[in-house]
Amino acid sequence: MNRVKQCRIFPIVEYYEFVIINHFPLFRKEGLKQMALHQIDTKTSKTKVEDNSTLKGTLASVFLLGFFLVSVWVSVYFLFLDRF
Amino acid sequence: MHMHKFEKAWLTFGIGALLVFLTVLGVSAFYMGNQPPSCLVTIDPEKVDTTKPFNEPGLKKVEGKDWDYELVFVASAFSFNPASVEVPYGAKVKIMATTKDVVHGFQVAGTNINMMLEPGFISEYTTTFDKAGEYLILCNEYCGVGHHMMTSKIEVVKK
Repeated sequence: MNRVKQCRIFPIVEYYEFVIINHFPLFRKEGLKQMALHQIDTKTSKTKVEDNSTLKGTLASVFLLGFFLVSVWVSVYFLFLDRF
Repeated sequence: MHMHKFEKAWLTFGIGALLVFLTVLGVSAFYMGNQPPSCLVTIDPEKVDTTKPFNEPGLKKVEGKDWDYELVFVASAFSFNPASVEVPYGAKVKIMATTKDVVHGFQVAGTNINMMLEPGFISEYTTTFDKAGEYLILCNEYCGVGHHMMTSKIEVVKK
């Protein structure tokens, strides 16, 4: 339980990971390896969760969509001005 | 609260866009006075044929108003009256339309003129016909079996 508390970032992901590892023999070996890693982790104690995500792809997607919407809006506005 | 700098960037962009759109809407409505085509002007739908100006549909020259002509249309299943009309090039026209029976559409294809005609209400749109040509008027609100046949025509002619 200690392990779960310390590494808790996305509880739902953790839960599915737990289910998959414990119920499918193919993943069991990998699960044991992960458990070992987590145990090492608990020994070093106090895990800090740091945000190293770059979000570059997300930024690019958001602004691509944003500029698409703005350009469509401007085009339709000029179409409106051009017509009587 | 920690927030990634990229998140700040797209939130600023999104909120900025929202403010721009609300400002455009506000200025358009409250400063420029834009309103929907049907704006609280009513008529008895059973007495359309005897109520001015709908007792004489068509184009009429008017004096002392902000527009030069008034173009009156009456819609009913499944036709527009008049079926065809000539408008002088460059004329500022106030289009006034209503319906005698069910909801009809009044769209002049290829222009900004697009109104819904509701029984009991008068729809109006003022514009300057500054492009010569032939324009199709069609009903774009399904009104019954003859809906697709319901058309009229405006010809903008240089004299």
